[in-house]
Order: sequence, then structure tokens, then C-alpha cells
Amino acid sequence: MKIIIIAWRNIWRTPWRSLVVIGAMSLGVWSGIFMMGWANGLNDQRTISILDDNIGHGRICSRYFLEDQEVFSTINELKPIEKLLLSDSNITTFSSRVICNSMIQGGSGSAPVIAYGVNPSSEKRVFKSVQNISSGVFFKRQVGDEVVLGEALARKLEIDIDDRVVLTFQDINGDVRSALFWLVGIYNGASSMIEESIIYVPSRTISFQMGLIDSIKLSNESQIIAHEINYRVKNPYEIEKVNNALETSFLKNRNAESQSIVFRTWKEVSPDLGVADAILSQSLLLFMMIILLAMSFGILNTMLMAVLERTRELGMLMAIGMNKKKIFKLIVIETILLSFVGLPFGLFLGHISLLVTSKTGITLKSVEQGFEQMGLESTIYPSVVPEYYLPIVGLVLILSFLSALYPARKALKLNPIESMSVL
Amino acid sequence: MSLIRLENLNKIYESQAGEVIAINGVSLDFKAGEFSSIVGPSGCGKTTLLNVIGGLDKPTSGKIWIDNTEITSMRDKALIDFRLKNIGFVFQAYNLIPVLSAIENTAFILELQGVEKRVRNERAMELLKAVGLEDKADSRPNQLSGGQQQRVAVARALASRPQFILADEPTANLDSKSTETLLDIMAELNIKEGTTFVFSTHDQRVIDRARRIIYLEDGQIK
Repeated sequence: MKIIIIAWRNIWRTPWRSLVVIGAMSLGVWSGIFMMGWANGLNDQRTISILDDNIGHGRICSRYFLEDQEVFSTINELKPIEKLLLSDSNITTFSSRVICNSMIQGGSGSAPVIAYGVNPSSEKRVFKSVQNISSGVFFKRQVGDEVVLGEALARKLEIDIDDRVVLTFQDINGDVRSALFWLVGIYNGASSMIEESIIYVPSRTISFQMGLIDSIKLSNESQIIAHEINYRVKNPYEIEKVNNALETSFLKNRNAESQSIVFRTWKEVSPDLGVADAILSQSLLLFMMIILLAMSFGILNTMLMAVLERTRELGMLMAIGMNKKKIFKLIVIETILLSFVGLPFGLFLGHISLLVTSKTGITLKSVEQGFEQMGLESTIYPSVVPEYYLPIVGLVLILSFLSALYPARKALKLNPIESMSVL
Repeated sequence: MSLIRLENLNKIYESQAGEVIAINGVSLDFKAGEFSSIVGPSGCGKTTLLNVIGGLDKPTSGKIWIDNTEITSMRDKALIDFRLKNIGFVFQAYNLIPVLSAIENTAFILELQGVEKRVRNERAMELLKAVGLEDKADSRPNQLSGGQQQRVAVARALASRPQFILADEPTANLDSKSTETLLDIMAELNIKEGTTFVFSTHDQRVIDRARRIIYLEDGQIK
């Protein structure tokens, strides 16, 4: 206990020198945490933008469709699933899709595309990309030979509104079929890759063309068949919880056939986004480690000065019977205390800064245009990052311990007689 | 029976100018309860002899027994522990811990020995009373005069009831009044508690009070 008291009082023997180290630690932790919050906020905005555009938050489909993308691998219990989604308060909206891998021909050429057979109104509620129509409309009718495609594809095929295109695809029997569609809308997507590869057609029209429904069901108002259902939740970062609850609730008291329904989160649908989150998280900790490592050299220097200044005193402590273990402990505790005094201030300042800026946002006027081209807003809302606080405390503990090693080694090498003769 | 026994002790330092013989074949006994002074001119080897007796320095040859324990062959770790339990030190420059109060400095040795807080504080206060500093118990060294600091150092040296106290030039930095006070205290503790004191000094006031005087010249006892 006394060693801790001596260590603590030793810190304040040279208050200004200690305050400089404490201030540096506070500023370093503050800036590191703010950078972490900033990068997290930027990444969250980017992720949410991509999810809003084309992926959604959660996706439900048949296991068979996931494996082989066969036309007939539709969701066999669409109605119960839709009922379940409607009853879950965490789910804000959902939309079903029929998916058709096709070849589009029109104007000056052809291209392979994925045709999403959608219910226009529900698709618009789930995805932003279809809200961003640069020319025409996102379908005039719920059923009809209409197609909406991206700006890049329209340019490539040299077609415009009211032009005709032909879609060639496989039907449910494996026969190749072609159908004529009229271009009614052109959307502006998150990227030219999306614009070139994804087109939209009314769900019931393409389902009929693919032989998934007959002409009677074609006139049915409600969605009757789908390959996948996309849904949105209130907080996309809590999707695992909602998705697991949905799956459990759906599979309860159901037969083996129902086991073929797969509930996936956006992280499973688009693993690159989940991986990007993990990489960012690791990178930010690495960044913080570099800041703290730089500061630990300052701490090392301060402690080394302290040891050299207290040579006589350390020699006396050894002479009267303080063993090397206790001398080592004294230097290590002193270093850790010195590092830890500034830490809570840095954490507090960082937390408060992030709390404020996460509400107000920070607008980057100079890069506004570039951000918009990437589909991002120029106002960044940093995230509060409490999940990093404990690792930061751990890092400070480890680095301050490491910083103490060299000064402690110097102290341990002192000879009591020689040390006490130092004036 | 001897408390401290030195047998043909030699200490030779290597220097650029060649070998320097600091202690030359010293054989000596100190009995429990002695109040002795090692005296001699500067550079005669007084401090070296005290350091070697205290286990702070190793002799080049020869042996030291303290209460029948041979310390010259002890490993460093064991020697530190032995010092902590058996030897009290009073240094010329007081060498108190600046961040601790008088009572904390006095109790520090007991803390190192793992003595319970209540017991060590009682002992520390008892010793501060004995050296006349009970009213300065909460003062830090920088709030005390040189004489007062040296009295705290004596109290610290006595705290763990060591077998003997080695005091290296304890009065060198003190004025006459402080020297007399300190010597009175040490003499009283020697008589009352039977504490053995071994001084190194060339201060006549200390020499006058010592009951045994050992003359050292060029590292040899005269």
C-alpha cells in the first residue's frame, strides 16, 4: 500500500513535468477516440447508404435458391413469413422479389443482367436506389411489360424512355424464353456496376413469363411468389438479434420442409461490408496503439529522468532493505499511475466531443461534391464508440508497463553505495 | 560472545592508477550493546569498513559473521533481506524519503517487513517520542531541520529493533546543539534498549562519547 502512496506522491514531486505528460495523454486519447468515432461514423454512413441502396437489412430466401439460383427454388411459405414480418415491431418494412438472370437486348447491343421482379410500391419503401429515378417513373402499373434500368446500362445500350428491350431468360421448365418490355424509367444507382447489372420489372409480369404463376394469378393483387424477401429494421446494427428472433419464431413448430428457409443478415448477404467493419475496427485500434506508443516514449523519458534524479534515494531504499522486486514495483506503479491520470480525462473529453458532434454533425464543404458522387452526405455524424474504451484502457496499461521496463531496469542496476555518493 | 566478527577483512579497489587498498587485513569483534566509534583521517577506510560490515559492499577477502551468520557468501537477495531484518543504517546525509512524513519514514522499514499498520504506527510514534519529535510526526523532511531529519533517520534505523546500527558520519552535517541532542538520544537508546551502535566519524564530539574507539589508518587498525 505504501508503495502506491510513494509512487503517487513521487508523481507530484515535479508537478509541471507530470502535468505535461498527463496533458499529452489526455490529448492523445481524446484525439484518438475522436478519430475512431469519426471513422466509425463515416463507415456507418457508407454502410447504411449501400444497405439502403440495394441490400436491405435482412434477407429471407430458400436454401436451394441460395445454393443453385434455380428458377423454381421459390419461398414455399411466403404468406406465413409475410405475416411474421408484419407482426414484428422491429421490422419497419419489407419487399419480395422474383429474381431472373437474363440477357437484355436493345438499341445497340446486349448485356447480362439480373432482373428483379418487384412490387413497385413495397420495393420503393425498402430501397433508395429505386427512389432515385433520373428519367421517367418507377413503373406506371403494378403489372405490365415495363422495365426500369440504370443510367449506365441505358447509355451502354443507347436506349431511352419508351424504347423497347428484349429480355431472354430460362423459364421454370428450363426452356429459353424471350419477352418484350418497354423502358419506363431510368434510375441513378450507387455505382455504375449496379446500374449496368440490375434492372427492375413488375414481379407478377416476370413470374408469369417465367412460368411461376398462371394467367389467373397474374391478375391477383397481392404478391404470390418470390425468391427472396428483403426487410428493414429500426437499427441495422442490431440486425442479428432481430434476424435470430425471426428465424426462431418461424421455425417453431414447423416441419422439415420449413427448415429450407434461410434468414440472413446484411453481414451475411454482403460479407464484404461486415469484413470492412471488422477491418476498420482493427485499424482504428492499431491507429490508437500508434498514438499511445508515441506517447509511451514520452512517459519512458519522464520516468527515466525521474529515476536518474532519484538515484541517491533509490540507493538508500536498497541499502535499508527494499528488495529489487519492490523497487521494480515502485517504478512500474509510478509509470502506470502517471499514464492513468490523463486517461479518464481523455476518455471523458473524447466521449463528450463525440456525443455533441454525433448530434450536430460536421459538414465538410470542401469535399461535398466528391462525397455526393460516392452517394454519401457531406455532413458526417461521428459515432460514440464506448466499445473501444476498454481496449484503450488495456492498451494504456500494457504500454505504460512496457515504458516502465527500461527505467525500472536502470533503477535495478543501481549500486546502493555508488548511488548514495551521488550529490 | 561477539555480535559482529570480522576475520582478516580486505577490500581492494581497482582503479586506473592501480590497486587501492581500502581495508587491509582487519580482524575485529563487536559485542552486543557496544557504543563504538571507528575513527581516523579522511580516506582511511572508515566508510568502506562500515559498508562492508553492513553488507552494502563485498570484501575482496575475509569473512564477516553477524550473530553467527556468515554474510560474505550470501547472495544479493538474501543479503538485502538480512539487512532489512538485522541492521539499521544512519547516513551522513539523512537520506529520508522526501514524499513521506516523519512517522511514515520511521514506519517504512516495518512496512517493508510486512508489519501490521497499527503495530508499525505505534512503534514509529514511540520512537519519534524517544527522539523528541512526536510533534513533527506529520512533517515531511523538507519541513524539518537537519538535526531533526537525522533524528528521524535514527528512529527509522531503530524501528525494526535491529541487532545493531551502523551510523556513517551521523553528525557531519549538524551544528553543535543538534549533535549533542542526537548523541544524547543515541546514548540513551544504547543504555535503555541495549541497541548496539557502530559509528564511523572524525567528529571529536562523537569520539568523546564513544565507549570504544577503533583507530583506522590506511585501512589497518592501529
